[in-house]
Amino acid sequence: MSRHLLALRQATIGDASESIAAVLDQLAREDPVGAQWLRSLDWAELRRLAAERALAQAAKTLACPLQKQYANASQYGTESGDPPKGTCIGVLVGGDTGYGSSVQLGVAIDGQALSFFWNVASQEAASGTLERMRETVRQAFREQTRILMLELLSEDGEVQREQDAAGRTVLRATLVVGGGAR
Amino acid sequence: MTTKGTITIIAIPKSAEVEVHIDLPEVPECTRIAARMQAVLACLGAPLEDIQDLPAPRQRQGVSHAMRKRVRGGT
Repeated sequence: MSRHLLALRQATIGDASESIAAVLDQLAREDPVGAQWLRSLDWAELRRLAAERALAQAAKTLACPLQKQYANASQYGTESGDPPKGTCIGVLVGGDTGYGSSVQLGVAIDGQALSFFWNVASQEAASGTLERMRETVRQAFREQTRILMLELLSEDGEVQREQDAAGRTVLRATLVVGGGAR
Repeated sequence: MTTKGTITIIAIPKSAEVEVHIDLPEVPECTRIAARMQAVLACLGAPLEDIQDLPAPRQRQGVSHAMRKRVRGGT
């Protein structure tokens, strides 16, 4: 039985509906010191870091391999291992059709914009595997952005992660405000 | 004079929502930290959208005020 991979597809991850400049201009009206500090940060690098961590977390959750690059599969009709746009951050490999890497889900960054790119064997197209993988990465991305935010705002960059009695994930960090604190 | 506090984020299971607790002695500082938190998350591409304020303040040891917000992840 042959395996056919669909053409690479791409979709954005995260919400870039508001520009970073606009967000920080708005913050500057109430908190000019904070806005000035945040303007000094490299947001493309921070977004790349959040995505990298999210992929690692998702790979652990899904128990699937995480590769640095898309594995070229020209025998299945795809022409390039590069993401359609941007630089590859990592690629999750999954699927359960007995053909190995029948689903490849990557995350790429182009400037400050993060996007998914993926390729799916036709046998997996209706399995829901891709959507489960994407949702796992989205959830991990949300958690990792929260952790990164707490690392940035906290006194010592330390973030505690635990489960409470109800089984909810709790993130906690210590803040210092006033005086010479930022 | 500097003061210490905590920020706690609780993920609501099976939803994109989180509950954020910012515990600091002064309400204006809570507000300022909440604004920074939202700005950082928006800059990271995961903005939070306020959907409701929860009852506040809570009384905790050494903390006279607290801000609790329930927010929804925007991604």
